[in-house]
Amino acid sequence: MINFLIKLGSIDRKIIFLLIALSVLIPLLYPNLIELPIKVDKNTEIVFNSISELKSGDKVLLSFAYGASTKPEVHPMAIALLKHLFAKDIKVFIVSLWPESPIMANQAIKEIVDTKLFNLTEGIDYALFDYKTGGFIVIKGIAENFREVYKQDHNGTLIEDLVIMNNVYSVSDFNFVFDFSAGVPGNAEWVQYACDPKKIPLSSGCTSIMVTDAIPYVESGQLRGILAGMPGAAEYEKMVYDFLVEELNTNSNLNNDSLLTKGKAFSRMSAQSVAHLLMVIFIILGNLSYYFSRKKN
Amino acid sequence: MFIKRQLAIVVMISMGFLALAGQFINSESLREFTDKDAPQWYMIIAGFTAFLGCLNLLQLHTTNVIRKQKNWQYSIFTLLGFLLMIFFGFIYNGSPADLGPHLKNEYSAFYWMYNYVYLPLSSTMFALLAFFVASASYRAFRIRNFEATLLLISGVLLMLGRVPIGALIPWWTVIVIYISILFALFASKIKNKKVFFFSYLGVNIFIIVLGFFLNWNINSPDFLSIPLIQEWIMAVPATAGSRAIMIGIALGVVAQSFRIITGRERSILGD
Repeated sequence: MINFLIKLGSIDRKIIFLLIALSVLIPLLYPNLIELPIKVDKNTEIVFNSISELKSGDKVLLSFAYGASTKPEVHPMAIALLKHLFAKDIKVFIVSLWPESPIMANQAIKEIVDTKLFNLTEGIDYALFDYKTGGFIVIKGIAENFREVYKQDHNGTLIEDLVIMNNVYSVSDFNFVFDFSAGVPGNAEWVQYACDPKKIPLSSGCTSIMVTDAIPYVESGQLRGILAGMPGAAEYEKMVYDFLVEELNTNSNLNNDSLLTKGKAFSRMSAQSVAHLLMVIFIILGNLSYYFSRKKN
Repeated sequence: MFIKRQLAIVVMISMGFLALAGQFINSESLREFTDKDAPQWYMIIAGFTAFLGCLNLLQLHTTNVIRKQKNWQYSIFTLLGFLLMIFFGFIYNGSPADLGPHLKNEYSAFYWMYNYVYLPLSSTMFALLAFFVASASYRAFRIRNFEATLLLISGVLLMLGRVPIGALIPWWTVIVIYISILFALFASKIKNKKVFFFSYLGVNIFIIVLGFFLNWNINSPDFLSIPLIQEWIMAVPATAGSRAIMIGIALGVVAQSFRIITGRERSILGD
């Protein structure tokens, strides 16, 4: 037994790769095989409550700052948030800070429109703005004068001709800012250059790897909660799903005969759970092997 | 030489002082410069840097292929991918949309390439991290010393606490983890193995029985819930560490900026 444990320490990493692949693949292929209850994190709850406090007709600025590589992690939270906002009849403005982000924003809006859950009109209920180079300078520009940075929406319609843009001149005219980010510029730049100086509530959804950098802003209240990676997305999806199910028969913004699903992050959590558990098992086995091999030597 | 050296330094120093002065001197024209003109210049220059970057990439990889430098075969793929996307971006459309807006039109060749080639490849590259993290954690997360043990314990608690499976771990397992950590710290003090083993077993049984008497099986306290421990780790030690790093970086930025605007730091000129 001890010799077996010692041998485990020098196991070929291809076997580890294979086990990890299986632990991710099987729950992804058969999502109903392992159903785990999702416990909502404190920070996800803060995000949900902050959005729930907004009123019909309020204006929310969404910043898309992620691309293809981080799409599986960040995109589901964008979809869930858009559903939450549109269900509350909130006006949505989307800006893109990464070159790939306009495609992400378009895909997110298309996905929402395809569910036929809401009756949406571009230019009235939402507006999309194309990528602008400059990173934090764009954020600074939006904070001072939105119309200096963006002269037209992504269709080429002049900003003066957009109904949704009435009385929108700077970040101060928004009731809430939400940032989806996977790097720089991201939530830190929104805190530093726009929302903190102008006292506009801000929240963020980011990749798991970014959470440690963002958590000081969450603890200080500069970020109102955070959707932390895939688990944060799954928790938010669950909360929005429960909210929509409750609202479906009473809310006039929702179409009753529409497609209501929980979302992609929710279905991926089993895979992540199993993979994490497997990693913990690896760590325990690795340490046992290390202990016995040291004892033997 | 004058343009590359002295003029560049003069521009660097004067712009640095101007931007800094805008924050301290209450002047309308200065404020106009720092809030409007300078950011617009920055955006224009940033646009040009993207163009320069593309040229640089082309030059670098073309040289690699021509001179057959190390791993030159990969450069062929880089160049092919680059030229293909330029072709679909600037020449071939394939959709009813005009050239330009076609980049976001789902029927265009560019969009197809992005959605069905670049996006899966990019996600795959990011997903590969999971395999390397698993392999690395198996080999590197070892109880070598006190710091490594702390890292391991917090790592494991975070890994379990962030996923639904963490909430399913019963309270008595967390007690066993706590007691194991405690005994691991004092293991070197207890020489007799039998005494060590029985005291470890006894303490575990005693606390678990006590837990049942205190109804922890119905309503367990926060310190026995892995998701709540994870929340605490993120809210307290991780925040403290992150703040320390942020303050350090901010001080470094101040020092570096001071060196740049006083002309001491010339590495940005290519020195």
